[in-house]
Amino acid sequence: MNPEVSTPPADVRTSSGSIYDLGYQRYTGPRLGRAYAARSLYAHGLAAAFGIGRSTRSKVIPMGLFVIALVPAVIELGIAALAGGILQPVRLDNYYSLVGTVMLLFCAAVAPELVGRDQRNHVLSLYFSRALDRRDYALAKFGALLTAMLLIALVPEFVLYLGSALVGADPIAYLRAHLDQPGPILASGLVTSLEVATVALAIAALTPRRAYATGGIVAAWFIADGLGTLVASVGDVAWTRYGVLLSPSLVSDGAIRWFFGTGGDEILLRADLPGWWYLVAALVYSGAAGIVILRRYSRIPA
Amino acid sequence: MGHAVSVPLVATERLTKRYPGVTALDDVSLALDGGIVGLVGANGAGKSTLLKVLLGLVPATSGKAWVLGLDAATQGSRIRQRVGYMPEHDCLPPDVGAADFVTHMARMSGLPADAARERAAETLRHVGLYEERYRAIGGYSTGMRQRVKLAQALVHDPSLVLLDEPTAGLDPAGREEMLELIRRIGSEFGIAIIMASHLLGEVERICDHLVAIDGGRLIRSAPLAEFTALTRVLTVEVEEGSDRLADALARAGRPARREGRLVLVDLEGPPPYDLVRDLVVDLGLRLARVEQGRHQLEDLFRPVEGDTPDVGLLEAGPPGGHRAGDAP
Repeated sequence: MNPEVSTPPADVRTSSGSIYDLGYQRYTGPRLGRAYAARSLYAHGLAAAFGIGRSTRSKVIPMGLFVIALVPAVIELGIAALAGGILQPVRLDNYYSLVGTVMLLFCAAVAPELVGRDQRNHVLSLYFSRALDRRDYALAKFGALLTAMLLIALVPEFVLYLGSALVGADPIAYLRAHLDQPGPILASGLVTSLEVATVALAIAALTPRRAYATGGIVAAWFIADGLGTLVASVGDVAWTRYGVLLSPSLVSDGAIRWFFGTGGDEILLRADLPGWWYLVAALVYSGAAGIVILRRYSRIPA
Repeated sequence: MGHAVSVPLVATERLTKRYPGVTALDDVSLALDGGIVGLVGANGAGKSTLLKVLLGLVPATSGKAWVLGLDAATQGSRIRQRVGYMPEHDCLPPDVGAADFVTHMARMSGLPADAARERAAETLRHVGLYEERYRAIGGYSTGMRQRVKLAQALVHDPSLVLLDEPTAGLDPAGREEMLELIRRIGSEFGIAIIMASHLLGEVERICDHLVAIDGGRLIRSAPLAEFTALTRVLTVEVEEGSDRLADALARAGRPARREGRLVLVDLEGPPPYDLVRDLVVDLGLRLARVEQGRHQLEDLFRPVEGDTPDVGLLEAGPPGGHRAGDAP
């Protein structure tokens, strides 16, 4: 219609000749769509979980907790190297009970950052008006937290596993003798991470307020743990042994012992439940929390 | 722009959106063809809801909506890849720089990392943010924040942008700049725009087409020119003596109304121009202007007779805004 508009926007030089405007240029490159956007959000979330791309201050807590999770493995390796591997206070099958609190604190610190920040700043409408949909967003954030948890759970385990081989006299023989370990290590890491990440994210997704989310995650976890332990400790009544299933920590602990084929703490021994019950209970916790997350994101106004 | 496209840019058919207790959109059927479209109505008229339904962010209760030929109910993701959206409310994280934030949003629209960074820098430059784009958004003025919101809506080079009250919270100078920017995006960038506003003065200055809604119902959708078409009334302004002029016109068989210094002459029948001129000369009046009157946009939202308007929140525009009826 208008010939002036249809001509390509050439360099428009001002009278001074020093400033020129290239004009608006259309984007003709690739548009990688929804799956790419979700993957990018996942990578962004995983970096943010460790404070990468954020201020130094926001790196302190996640990085610090990651280091703390490694400490028992390093100490154990040190002892093993000096004492010839006789002492084994830290073992592959009880490592998660040692770092379980670290994983919980990591989630309590990071999950509100991952999902509460966008709610607090009302950024969700910008996400949901792009290639992503609500479920993609929730899954990408969940994937980021789960991966962070897996790193915290599995890196120390494999450090301990491979380190134990290296400090021994014959690493090859050690690995041959412990070929059955990587399977339970991976299964335990996955179940533990899944449980804590889903429960923490479900609570964090419910509020834009960071303090409420962090407090809620810690409180819910410890209250459930305390309640489960309390009920399961009532010795004389038969049904109270099922109380262990109320405690998320005892549930994952039971599943881990089942994977490794080792016994448990006194309270797990007394409950004497089939090992796979703990795995089912952990998956039920994760599934229920997953439903809470998806429902929250399908309804949250944007 | 103006191409005869087979599918309209945006179309709705009997679109209805009900929330518990309120009908936000009521049986709206529309077809829009690009350019700069103004979506006007009072606060709560359903403008934001319409934009959200078009984006596929909010499902319609009944009826259909298409954007770029895609069904908003089932192809929302594909629509959103080609459409930009600037929400009304504040939606920026305070602790990130605009450059990083807009880059991230470009990736969320599907742009590869390098392209996202380049487009973010370029788009921020187009909206007038230069070195400050590396500073945290928390320290920005309202005007700068509105520009960042606009940039994130443009960064993936959409075919259409939906702007919800883009001048909200801006001072008069900032509002001018934002309107000029929007006008450039529509004309120079060649991006179709739907701009929701409760300020008629803004809409009529930059829009080619106007959609008026009230209480969720479509009042009218038409090119701006039709809204402000010439009326069948001639406006004669005299410095004083408008009463005498009106009387003289009545005696000459041309009934006229007075509004202060204005005399409004009905244009039905033979042209009254010579008569007006002669009477002004005969009465020795000082003539300020003679002009064929135009419809005022505000008339759209005015109740037919007498009553006070029930759309009290609708504003004609900021003081100093030009009215369509002003003499060019």
